[in-house]
Amino acid sequence: MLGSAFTQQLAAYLLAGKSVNLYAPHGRGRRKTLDDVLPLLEGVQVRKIDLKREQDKWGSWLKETLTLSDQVIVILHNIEDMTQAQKAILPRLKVFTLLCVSEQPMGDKDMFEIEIPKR
Amino acid sequence: MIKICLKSKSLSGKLTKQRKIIHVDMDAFFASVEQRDNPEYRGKPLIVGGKPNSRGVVAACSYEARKFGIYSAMPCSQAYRLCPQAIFVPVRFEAYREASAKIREVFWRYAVQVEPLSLDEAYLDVSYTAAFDGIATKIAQAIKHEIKQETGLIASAGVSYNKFLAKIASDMDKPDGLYVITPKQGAAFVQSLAIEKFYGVGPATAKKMKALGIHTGADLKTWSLSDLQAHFGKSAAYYYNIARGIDERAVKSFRCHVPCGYIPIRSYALFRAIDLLQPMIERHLSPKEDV
Repeated sequence: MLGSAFTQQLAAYLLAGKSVNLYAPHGRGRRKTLDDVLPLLEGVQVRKIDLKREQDKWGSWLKETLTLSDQVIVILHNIEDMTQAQKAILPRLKVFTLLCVSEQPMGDKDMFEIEIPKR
Repeated sequence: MIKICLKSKSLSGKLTKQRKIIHVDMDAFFASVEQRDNPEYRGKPLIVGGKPNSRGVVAACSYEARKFGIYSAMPCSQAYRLCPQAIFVPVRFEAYREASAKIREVFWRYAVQVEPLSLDEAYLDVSYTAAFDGIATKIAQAIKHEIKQETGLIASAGVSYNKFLAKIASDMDKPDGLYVITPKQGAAFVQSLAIEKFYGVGPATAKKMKALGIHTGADLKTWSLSDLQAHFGKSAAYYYNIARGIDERAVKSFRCHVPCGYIPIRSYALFRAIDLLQPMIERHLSPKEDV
């Protein structure tokens, strides 16, 4: 299990409006990190989707996210599996902070790149 | 034929000589917005984030709360133990976004390049700003003043010749600070700096550096690039340079913008525009002998 300081800092970044690209190779605990971070974002609307495992839920996830009136923290797990059409819709969401989770750094200059440390 | 002397060559020379970078960092931004909008919170320890008995973390806290040892990313339950009388409020993203947008409008009046790091901080490149005779310290003062006037919020600013030092400078005199690190002071300033104060050196790297006997900028400077590479990989070059007060990273905007009201007549944008337009201008102004 990762140190709680790591997940607390990650949560603080997201709450402070800093978009993050969280990356690590397969098996280093990306999913576990998300599980640990979510409770720390208590009191904030978080919309999470796994683009690898939950592609079939994209439609309903998007519809629900678009209807939200307040800004939210959006978590996109396995961002590599996002299609171009899905990427094109992203600007329509009322995103306060974006957390993109990937195996490799995305190289997006608008995001803080944070590697999950080795256990 | 009219000759235009503003060649990109001279521009390049100017760019590599000395830049003027301002780092603006809002003081306790979220908490300050809450205190501004809710006068009853003013002067009191205020925590923005989760509930006191929750697993949530502190997103931001007022300076009054910081006196109790509370800081962002701390679990709210811990913050509550440290200061039971603190006021806990949930985050209001819309309010912070709105305030941030107003602050960025102020930035664009003075800088051609604005690189936001988050809602509450940004780098500004004012190297070619004409306002206040291009004196970066005065520009920073004006920015702080206009932010206060237009949003009621307080900012700290750091002024230097690169991003690394400007960011460190903005943290030197908080709150409501304005700190300048001149090119003459830069290298010596870095030498005396504790390693954990270096931007880009997180807690894990600081721990690793200390284990290697690197406690200050002076210690870091004694390391060769190859030795740093052996321990820190691709980050080594960055550490090697900042130990010498060198940081050539450019301030990168997401949008191209020429400020209104304070048109920087010597701005980079204008230089570039003239460069690009020069062939066309010369074509139109040259005697049309070949017609």
